[in-house]
Amino acid sequence: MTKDEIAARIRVALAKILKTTPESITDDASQTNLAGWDSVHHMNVVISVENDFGIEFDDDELPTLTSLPLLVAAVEKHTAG
Amino acid sequence: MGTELTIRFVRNYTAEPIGNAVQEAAQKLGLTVATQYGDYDNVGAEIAALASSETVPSMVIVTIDLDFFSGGIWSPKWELSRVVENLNEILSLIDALPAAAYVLLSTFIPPFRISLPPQPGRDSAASELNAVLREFTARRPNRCGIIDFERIAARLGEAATRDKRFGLMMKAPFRQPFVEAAAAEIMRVLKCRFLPPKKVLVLDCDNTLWGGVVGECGVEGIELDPYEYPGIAYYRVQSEILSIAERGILICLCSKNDEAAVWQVLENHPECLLRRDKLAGYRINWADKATNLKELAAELNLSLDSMVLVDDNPAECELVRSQLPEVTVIQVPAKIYEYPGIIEGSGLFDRLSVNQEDKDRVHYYQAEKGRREFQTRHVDVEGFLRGLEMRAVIRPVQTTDTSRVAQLCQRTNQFNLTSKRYTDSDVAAMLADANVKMFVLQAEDRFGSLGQSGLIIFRKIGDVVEVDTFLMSCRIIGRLLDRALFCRGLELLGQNWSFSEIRADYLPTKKNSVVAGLWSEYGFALVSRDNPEKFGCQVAELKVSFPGIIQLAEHL
Repeated sequence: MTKDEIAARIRVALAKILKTTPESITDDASQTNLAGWDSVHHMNVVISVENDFGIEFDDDELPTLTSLPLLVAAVEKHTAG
Repeated sequence: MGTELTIRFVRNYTAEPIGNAVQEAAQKLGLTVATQYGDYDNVGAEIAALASSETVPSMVIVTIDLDFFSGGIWSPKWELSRVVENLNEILSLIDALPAAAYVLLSTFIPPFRISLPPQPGRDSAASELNAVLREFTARRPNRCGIIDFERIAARLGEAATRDKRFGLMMKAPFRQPFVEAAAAEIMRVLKCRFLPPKKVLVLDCDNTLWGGVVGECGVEGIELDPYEYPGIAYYRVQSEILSIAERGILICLCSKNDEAAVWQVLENHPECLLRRDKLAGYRINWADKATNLKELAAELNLSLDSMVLVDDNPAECELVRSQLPEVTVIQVPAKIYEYPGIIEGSGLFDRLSVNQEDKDRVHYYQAEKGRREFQTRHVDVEGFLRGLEMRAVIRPVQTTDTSRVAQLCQRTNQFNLTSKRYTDSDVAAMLADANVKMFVLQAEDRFGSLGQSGLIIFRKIGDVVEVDTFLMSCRIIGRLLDRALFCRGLELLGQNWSFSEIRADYLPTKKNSVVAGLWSEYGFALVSRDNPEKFGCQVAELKVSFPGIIQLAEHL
């Protein structure tokens, strides 16, 4: 799976939870610049991404997954190999 | 724009996911819900602060998780008697909340596994605390309710309920299936309070009230039995229908059938629970169901959108859905063992409380039939009304009337000048307001009681009196009882207040055109054509008087 494919799927998950369109989510979308991505919605984002990719993030990873690029990198790490 | 409501969560954990799910579900029904959250673990102080706050939420949800309550159930210092005390302290603050806020309390979820040896203070904590909650809410039926988290958890099981990770990391203990189920339970209460209720349950007969076709297999041949399948499924459904009828929902039959055969079952079948005296109306003939439903609605003087049809025939269901989209249709499932519980489970007949008026409602409609037959024999209206020998009691609203008064505000659509949908809590607040006076009308005629079926609410603003609400239940429209209530209400008002001018509004809705000209008829002058239309009148210029054909009584 390429980085772009992962990013596209995460965009869909984010858009669904934050009630927006995948296209409106920028490459550098993060908890600071994307409206509605607060800590409560972050739980849903985490669960939704985990279910989508069939992975489970480590507990110390969770607080760091605060942007689209960071989520992509973490998913890449868990799905590699 | 739909109705806008505010729900405040007073909680000791991250309840935001539940609030978000409620918002989403409410939106689908056209209700706009704003959510507010108190601080974590500050439940008592939050409630106390709300009690003195100026802005009152429509609903307060108090939800406490044992993991974090009173030091936490896992703390070595956990002591059940002290926790019960803490809960009682919190509950005692609830009575001080403004009456306009309805309070929902969530039950505590017991641990999914028991310890060995048992630890009574922990294992049974939830059930003991829940007993306290239930007793508290049972004593305040129009003020408080329960959302039963314990039952949802039991239904879904541990895996769909508890989120171990986010429970510990973010104090967010519930998984999505639980969150959605909890939101659905909150929605049931919201619907009861803020959406118009269904009032009529219309039932087909063959394969809906019993198995088989009575016209073919006879009364003895149908399936209806308290023990044997498949008759037991229909028996259960009939028992469900009776309990719905007891809440004041009108039961009607609408069946393509041989009328005599249907009465045979209702009168003679030993296991038939639904008897003829429980029916508010019926159409048993070979005409199409859409026509029959329209006739029933007209006969009961209720709108089609207050009706629910249960029928086993997919073609009939489809016909009604397409021709009368206002009617809600429930189709009997093909697997008959899935039928019991469906009508109740639809939530369409949920009620927060039931009063005597509800229980008696069917009799009013039955008496109405007698009146109609009497009317067809009288050509002149005056003579007809005189012949009814009406008697009316008009008196101030008392605390015990709260539930009925709120119900009148919620349900009355046609003869309703302002359509203000007051809740029990609103009524309670107005009872305590010295600038508000409310009067109810209770009437009877030679055919029987007409129930508590009229309401007028006056507000005093300086030396002007304003008619805040004026409504009459649809079964007594056209009887001059409105004039009786208005005139006697004013007279009683004069014993306490001095005023020379009256103002009144008419807010047009889709259903209340019957009263569009009422204020003019009473002698009021149109002051402005705004929405609502505003009217005014000097007391001396009123053109309405207490009708001579109605006898004013002290009690009926």
